[in-house]
Amino acid sequence: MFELLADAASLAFTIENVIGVLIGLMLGATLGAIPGLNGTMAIALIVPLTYFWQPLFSIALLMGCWKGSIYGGSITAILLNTPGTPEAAATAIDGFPLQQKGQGRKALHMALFASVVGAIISDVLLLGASGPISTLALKFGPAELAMLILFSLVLVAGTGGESHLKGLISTMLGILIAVVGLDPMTAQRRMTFDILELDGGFDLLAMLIGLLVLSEIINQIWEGGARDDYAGDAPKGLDRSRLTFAEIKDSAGVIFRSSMIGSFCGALPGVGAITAAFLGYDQARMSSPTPEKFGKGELRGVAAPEAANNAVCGSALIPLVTLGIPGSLSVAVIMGAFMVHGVSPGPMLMIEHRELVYALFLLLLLSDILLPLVALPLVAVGQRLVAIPKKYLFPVIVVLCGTGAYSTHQSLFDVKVMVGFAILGFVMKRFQLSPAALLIAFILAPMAEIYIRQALRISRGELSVFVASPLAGGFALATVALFGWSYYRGRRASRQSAHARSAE
Amino acid sequence: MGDDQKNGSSRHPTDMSGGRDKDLAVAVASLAFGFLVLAVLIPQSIGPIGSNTTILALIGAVGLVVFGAVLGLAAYRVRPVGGDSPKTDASGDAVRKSGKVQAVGLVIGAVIYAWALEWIGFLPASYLTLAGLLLLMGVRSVLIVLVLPVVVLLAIYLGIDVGLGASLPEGRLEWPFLTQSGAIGTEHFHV
Repeated sequence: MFELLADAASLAFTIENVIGVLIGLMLGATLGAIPGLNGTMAIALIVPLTYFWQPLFSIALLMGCWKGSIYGGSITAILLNTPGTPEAAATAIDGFPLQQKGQGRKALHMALFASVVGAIISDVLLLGASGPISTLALKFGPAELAMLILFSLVLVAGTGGESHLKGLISTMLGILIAVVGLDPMTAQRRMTFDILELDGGFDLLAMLIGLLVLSEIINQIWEGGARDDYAGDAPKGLDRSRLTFAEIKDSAGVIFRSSMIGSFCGALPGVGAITAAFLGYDQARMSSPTPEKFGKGELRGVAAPEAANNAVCGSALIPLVTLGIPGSLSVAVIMGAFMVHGVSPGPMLMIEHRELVYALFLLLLLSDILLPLVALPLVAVGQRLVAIPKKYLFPVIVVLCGTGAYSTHQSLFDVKVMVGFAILGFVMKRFQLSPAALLIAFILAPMAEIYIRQALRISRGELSVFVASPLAGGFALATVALFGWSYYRGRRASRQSAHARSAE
Repeated sequence: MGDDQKNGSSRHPTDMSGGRDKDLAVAVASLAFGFLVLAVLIPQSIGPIGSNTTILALIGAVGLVVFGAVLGLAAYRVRPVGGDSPKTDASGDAVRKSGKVQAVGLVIGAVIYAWALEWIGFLPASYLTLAGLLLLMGVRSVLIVLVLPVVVLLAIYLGIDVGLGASLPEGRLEWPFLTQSGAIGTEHFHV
């Protein structure tokens, strides 16, 4: 293990990679701090540029960007009560009251400290757990892998949108879009309509940018227009409050527990940083001897969600690198970046490129350690940074979207694909469908198809192969149970809603 | 996909918070598209139903039909809530209306941009799009409308073309003032 880590360290800790991490942190924290942009959008915009760079440098930059954006979201959450990213929504509950009390700087420093600790704990878990899990994953046959992917798709669909059924419809749409292109085994054209550019299927990055970035901008403008209201109640100036050692000591237990909650949430496909942040906040409030202080400017109310949402990052890579399954949208975008650089996540990656995978983990750890270097100056200029009105920001991002979609393959067809998926993503959002579920289905469906066809070939067409082994049967049972549970939960929510309305 | 969750809330399709009509629309569209794939697209664009190459499309299409039907039934069984007329807020309505106009304008602008790139090239198309969108978003300063696109495009040009060595499209019209200088490089559009 130590030998492996030493090899990985020599691969990871080069000047270029450290610079990559720093640039990524700066970009991520800056973009994450701007309300209306989130980490996933930031990564999606940067991925096409990395196509021209060395894989490890690019991945270092993207890892830094991911980590930076999660912290960046907390800056506006605390200073302006406007979470820069959805993950930072829970941070605003106590962060902004602290700012109103003149302790915004202290809250930002606590958020930074909790973010770094949470992220480091999660990354250490990633280092320890990914090896054994990938060894176990190697024992999976095609049928088990197909059922595992099916289970993941149902899980992700259930939590991705506002209703499970609509999540499943989005998933099915993603599966159908994945069919477009050449058959992976026979190279037969499928739903390409004689358009040569579609032989390779829709370009993932063009889809990513369209579905996640441009559609989000259209949606935000649709809902409120690109007005000047970037900030809300902007404070007049930064205070000089300082975080004390006693306050850190007081929050240590909360930070540790929230880090464990975040790590657990990250490792589960479909449960992301937002859920983790609110769970972390809830446990901090419930375990506090003074829960009434929460919501009114409690420092532990800042530490808990920040530790939890940052702890999601490391553990979220466990299902990706061990099973090839992206458990969240951000990880799906990271997976897209890996694929652009010819790296296919999954159990074989851990065998064939073990040093590379551990180098990636170390880069993640490095980005945690370097985060304060970037974040502390950012805190000082935070207020000016976030005050970019959307009316200037959005037009620039539209052109950046076009540039990003074009530059990867230098194809104008990809720009049209990007615009098409932006319109699709916008329509989906208006109808409460989940573009994220569509995207993850699009990524996983080709893998599922290969495994299904391999399993059917091995079993000579017998469908029972998908429930024959205990593992495959277990995944099938879990999938059915998940269907049942989410349907029951939806029915109950519906009845409660109906009762509440009739009572009114 | 917790990243996309709104504070962990979950809404059933039959929840009556004004989503019934949307649910029915999604159900109808899902059923229609599912049947279209099953009846037309798979036989004509993939192969005979049942062959190995159609497995993925079959899963997707059957899933659309089944989940669309369940969603439709669930939404249909919910009685629409009457009585309460939505509260009107004149200033809010005006903002929402202008937002919708801007959003539609942005979509139209993005579509035109995608085609303009092919014809007039990256720099002119991006300049016009950026200036047009700034005006659409309500920027009234002539200086900003004229200068901001130049700054942004210069940064993109230096980053992409000079920095990364990736040529930006010059368009089918091949503007002499761009091509003679050799600044834009070779064209890369698909015919």
